[in-house]
Amino acid sequence: MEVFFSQLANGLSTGALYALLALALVFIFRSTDIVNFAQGEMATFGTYLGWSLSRPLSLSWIPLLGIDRHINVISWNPQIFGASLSLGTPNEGVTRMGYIVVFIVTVAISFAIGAFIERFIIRPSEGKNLLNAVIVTLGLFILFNSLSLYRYGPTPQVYPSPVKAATAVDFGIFKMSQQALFSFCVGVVLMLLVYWFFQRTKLGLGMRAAALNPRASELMGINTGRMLTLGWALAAAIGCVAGMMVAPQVAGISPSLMLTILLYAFAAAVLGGLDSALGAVIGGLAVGIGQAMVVQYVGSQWSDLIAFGLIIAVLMVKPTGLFGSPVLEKV
Amino acid sequence: MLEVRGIRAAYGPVVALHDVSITVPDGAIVTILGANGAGKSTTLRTVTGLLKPLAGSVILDGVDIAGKSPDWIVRQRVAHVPEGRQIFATLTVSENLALGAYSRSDERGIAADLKRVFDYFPRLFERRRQIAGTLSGGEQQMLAIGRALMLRPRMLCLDEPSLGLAPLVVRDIFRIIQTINKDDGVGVLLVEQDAKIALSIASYGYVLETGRVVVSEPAEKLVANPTVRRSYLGY
Repeated sequence: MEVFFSQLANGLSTGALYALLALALVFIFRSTDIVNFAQGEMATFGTYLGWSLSRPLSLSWIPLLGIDRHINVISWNPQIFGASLSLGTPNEGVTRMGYIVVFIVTVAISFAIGAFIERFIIRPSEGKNLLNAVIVTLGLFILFNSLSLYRYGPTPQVYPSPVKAATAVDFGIFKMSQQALFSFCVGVVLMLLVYWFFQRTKLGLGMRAAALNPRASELMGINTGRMLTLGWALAAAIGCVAGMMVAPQVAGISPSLMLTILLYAFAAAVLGGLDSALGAVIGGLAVGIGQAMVVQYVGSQWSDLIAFGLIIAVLMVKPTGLFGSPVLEKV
Repeated sequence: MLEVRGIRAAYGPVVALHDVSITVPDGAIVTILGANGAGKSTTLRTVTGLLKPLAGSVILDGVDIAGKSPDWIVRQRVAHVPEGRQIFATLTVSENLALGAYSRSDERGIAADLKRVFDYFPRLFERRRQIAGTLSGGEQQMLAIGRALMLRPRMLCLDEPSLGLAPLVVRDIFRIIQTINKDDGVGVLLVEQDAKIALSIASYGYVLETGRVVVSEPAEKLVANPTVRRSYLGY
């Protein structure tokens, strides 16, 4: 039984990450009807920024300089409130305080990148033909993938974690790694924050309204364009958090970090219904648990097949997903 | 006071309004009558900024608001109840009303206005937690008007409030529009196909035909005008 419960716990933990990325996809789909294929690559790029920032000050901080020029120019040890942010040499990583600072700064930069993309890349291509926008997001996928590859190379880099990533925590009936537990907690807290933001704040209500009925929202005095920008920014920030949680659990950060994770997040979003935030969360957890069980009891080679079998089956039987609203033809 | 002066507006190459002028004095109810496609809704859309006029001006209390963005015009407290109501169907009644006050930040004033809206429409209070899409047509119209009142408007633009509603419900709604107008002295610009009921509460009326004002008279004269009687009142 311990194996079963441990797999369940691990499934919930990865599921929470799928749910985060699925939420990001849902936010963008709900407000702009665009499926953002670049979501995962944007997250990877954001995570790389975090990796850069978590290293002692060096030329690597200068964007797009290339990994081979990652030479330490100054052995600078940044401090906040007297606490050191960096452990000195590049391989030692950051302190806990440093991790938190890097986390916040990285999320903020990702937020800004998301806003920039909506405002200057997506908006000009919008409203003409949905296919245009889809191809633009595919273009962004390639852009960010190449950017990560060019800037940081194909070799995985160790991403820091504030916990002893590989050490297991024993809960009696199940065990999970500290990193899995940490990322599950971060995922849950972030989802609760998102829920609070959309359900309890005026800005969140405005964003929901703008996604629902842009024309009526304008009559309420809501600047719908700004809401779309904010939606993309939020999605990018959430995706980036998922990336920073994934990286310490796999071999390290590489340009393909989020590739399969994005596919599972798609499976989760489609399962839950592409326009339902609740569906994204439940879909994400279900896909995570399902994957963990398949890996344990069927064989890991089957997990991709089952995930994508699931997408196809859901699209055939219930095209709107479990929680999606029926498709209304726009006249 | 709202003055529309010589508005010309078009959808792409199709000119929808040629030189339309309309005045709504403070606290008055003014109605725009006309057939489908005459330009009634287009006139409202240029007033509330959804459509930028090609020429002419829209003067609200001495300020030209023509061509300004809709959210700016909303902040000048010009409320627009659009055709087909356009409520937020999957949000609750309370959330819809909260959105009506989106551009305001005076929490106390908003709370007071919410109470007033519930006084006008007790049905909305009973259903405040209900999803707006599950309301009846009449209740949805009440919600759309209530939502507009949450702006504490100085100018209320109503587009076909009678659309698709049973005659009894229409009478209720028009009575409430009249009450709101009397209580607050809010100016009402009413676009309506049902000329009879519109003229029963309006003090002045305009008749639009293919984007031009063809008749403009006090309501009691319009009721007696033979063309209006034949074309819009049906007797």
